[in-house]
Amino acid sequence: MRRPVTEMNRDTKHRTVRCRGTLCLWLWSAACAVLVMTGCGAEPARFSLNLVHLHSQDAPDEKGQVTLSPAARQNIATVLDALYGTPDAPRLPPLPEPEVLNFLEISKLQRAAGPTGRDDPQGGERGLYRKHCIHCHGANGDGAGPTAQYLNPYPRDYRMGLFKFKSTEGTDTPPTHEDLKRVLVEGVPGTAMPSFKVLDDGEIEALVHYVKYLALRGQTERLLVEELAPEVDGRYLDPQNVVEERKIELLETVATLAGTWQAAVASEVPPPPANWEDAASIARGRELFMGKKALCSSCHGDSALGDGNRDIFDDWTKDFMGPTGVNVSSYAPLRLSTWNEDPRKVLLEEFYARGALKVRPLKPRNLRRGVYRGGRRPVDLFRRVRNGILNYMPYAEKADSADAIKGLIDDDVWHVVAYVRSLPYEKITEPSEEIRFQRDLP
Amino acid sequence: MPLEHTARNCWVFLVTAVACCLLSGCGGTAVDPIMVDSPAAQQGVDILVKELAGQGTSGGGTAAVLPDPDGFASLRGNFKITGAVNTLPPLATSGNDRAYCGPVPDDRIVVDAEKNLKNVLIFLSMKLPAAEEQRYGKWIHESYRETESAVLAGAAAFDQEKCRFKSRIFAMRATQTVKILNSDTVGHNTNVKGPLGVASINPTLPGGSDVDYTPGGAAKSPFAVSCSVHPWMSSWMISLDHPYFAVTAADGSFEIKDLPAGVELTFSLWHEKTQWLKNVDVVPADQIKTDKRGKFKMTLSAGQETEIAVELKSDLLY
Repeated sequence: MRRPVTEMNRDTKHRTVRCRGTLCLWLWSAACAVLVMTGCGAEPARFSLNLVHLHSQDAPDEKGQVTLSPAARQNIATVLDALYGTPDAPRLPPLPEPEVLNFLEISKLQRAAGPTGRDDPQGGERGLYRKHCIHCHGANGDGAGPTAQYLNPYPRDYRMGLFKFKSTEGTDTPPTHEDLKRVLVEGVPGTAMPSFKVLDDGEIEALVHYVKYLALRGQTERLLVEELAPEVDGRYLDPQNVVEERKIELLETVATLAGTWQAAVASEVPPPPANWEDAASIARGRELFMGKKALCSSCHGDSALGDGNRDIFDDWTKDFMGPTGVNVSSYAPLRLSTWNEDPRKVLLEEFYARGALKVRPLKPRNLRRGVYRGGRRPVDLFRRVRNGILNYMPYAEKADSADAIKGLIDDDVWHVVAYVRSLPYEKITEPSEEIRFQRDLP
Repeated sequence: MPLEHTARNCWVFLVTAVACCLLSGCGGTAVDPIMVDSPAAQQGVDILVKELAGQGTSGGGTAAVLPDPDGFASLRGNFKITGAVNTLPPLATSGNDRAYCGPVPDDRIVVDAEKNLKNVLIFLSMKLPAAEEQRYGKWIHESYRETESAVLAGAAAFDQEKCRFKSRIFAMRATQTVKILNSDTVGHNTNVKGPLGVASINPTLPGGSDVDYTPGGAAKSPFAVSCSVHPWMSSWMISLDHPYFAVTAADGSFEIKDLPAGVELTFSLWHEKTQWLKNVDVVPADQIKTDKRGKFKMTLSAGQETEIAVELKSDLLY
């Protein structure tokens, strides 16, 4: 049916208006994109304070009182810049004994830092961190870059100085240079961290140094916020009136921190026993895995699907989830009176507003997939069992004999590794509902 | 066609909005970052760079020398709650050991019938002279010498029973060693997370076993103890480079013997539930009050026994 002319005219008129509207919209979006991408001018890149940690340490009480005033907080940023420089121009703290900083080379930091580019057509690339890492790990090394929220697990936040996949003993000792380099070269299987094998050795070296630099800087910030600054009324190091004692205290603290990095060495791994990975070795490993001594199954589950205890939080989340995080009443660091209401939402929103990523509980690894984040070499698995993983996966102490009430002898650790390596091929009989569900998960 | 245009408009809007949000990170309620972004702050950085490198113009005054104590004195006292006392709901438990562990009460706030408060930590929180000749006899009473590297075992050990740590706050000297016991039949892992300079451990502890822990360094505030197998388990420890600390008993009382006298001492007050006990009247008559870090100052007279009775308003804890 033909429509009346008047109606057609109205249509045309509408279309003209809409077309103009569309043009405006495109222009508007182009302008927005330009503004956002250029960041409204040539502001130099800056580090910013860890607001999540600051809030967990110093949330306002019922009267709105905080320990660190705005001026004191601003001063912490100033002190950190004085020690470490900016993302464009990194600097190393002027320690009285500079050799404790030998694990950081300023020329390598300078190559990784700053905007991307080349010094000359033949020269190496600069600005490597911004080119390869910043989208996930963020300018501060906070693991909260623009893409972080879409990844599981989240990218590593370097600022605690804690790294899971390392060869060193001790629950909070830093990794070795080689450990970090391995992660860059090999990537982390089962996560979004890719392999950077395509980069040349100079580029990888520069990035490893820059990661260590961001970690040391972040650790210094935490100590300033937790221990040094709160002891002082007002600014910790007032540029107008520098207190000599605090200057010494600050440099000593940095030196102690740096010393832990400088001292990081890989733990010894003995050779496996002669019968390693034969049927008896795997059976012994299974016995230990399920047993009351090694306690593997209490978290990884009897089926090793990672379906045991799932109510724990990692160190990065513990900043605002209290020491155990098992329920809201254990949000210990928060001094808010939240007796009669569910504080979960209110409290978490405060942290999300400060840049925290949505809380996820820590999942023990599903060992049946045969994907090992810390590396699949037998030596990697040996170290996971012997050294544990930071503060959640406990380590097996070295025992004198296989019958000892606690701890494992080296051979037994190897047998556990043998069983773990056999798990992807072991049949699960009569899977429970939960196991079936778990298996369907990606 | 009008419909097509509307769809395209929507699309353009959506893409722009999403792109803007993603790129600029606009979150509405986001808190402003704290950074060096003003000329004044930059000037401060420039000054501090020179100062830290030892090229500054500041005086570089020497550390204040503490006067010597003129003897020793004791401090004793009591902590009490005023106002309503609530019972906290029991903790949520999970995992295979639930039946063994049974219901786990939330015992962070323990009071007796008279509302005396258990588990308040009081400790000397000032830096004592480090020189050997300044320590024993002057700042630290001779009687503490023999316990300097004692092994805390038996009743003094750090124990866990029925999937709970028996101590909520455990204070010790940095040089001492504590036996961490597992009196349960189920296995635990005892994760002691010491700050910089204090040892951290996280061994598996099968039922009936124990492990020795030596902090090796002093902490400025209590640090957490937890168990990954039983995530509701939590406790606190503190290690100090002197013997002047106490945790209140079930009747809210504490005693610290042979403290240095005649010099101004700085103490800190801490309780698990609220951490530093700030703005608390310690001796109202003398206007001795804790600051925002839970610290108060007091001078004791040689040979005397000073007693304090501290009342904490219950809303400080709940």
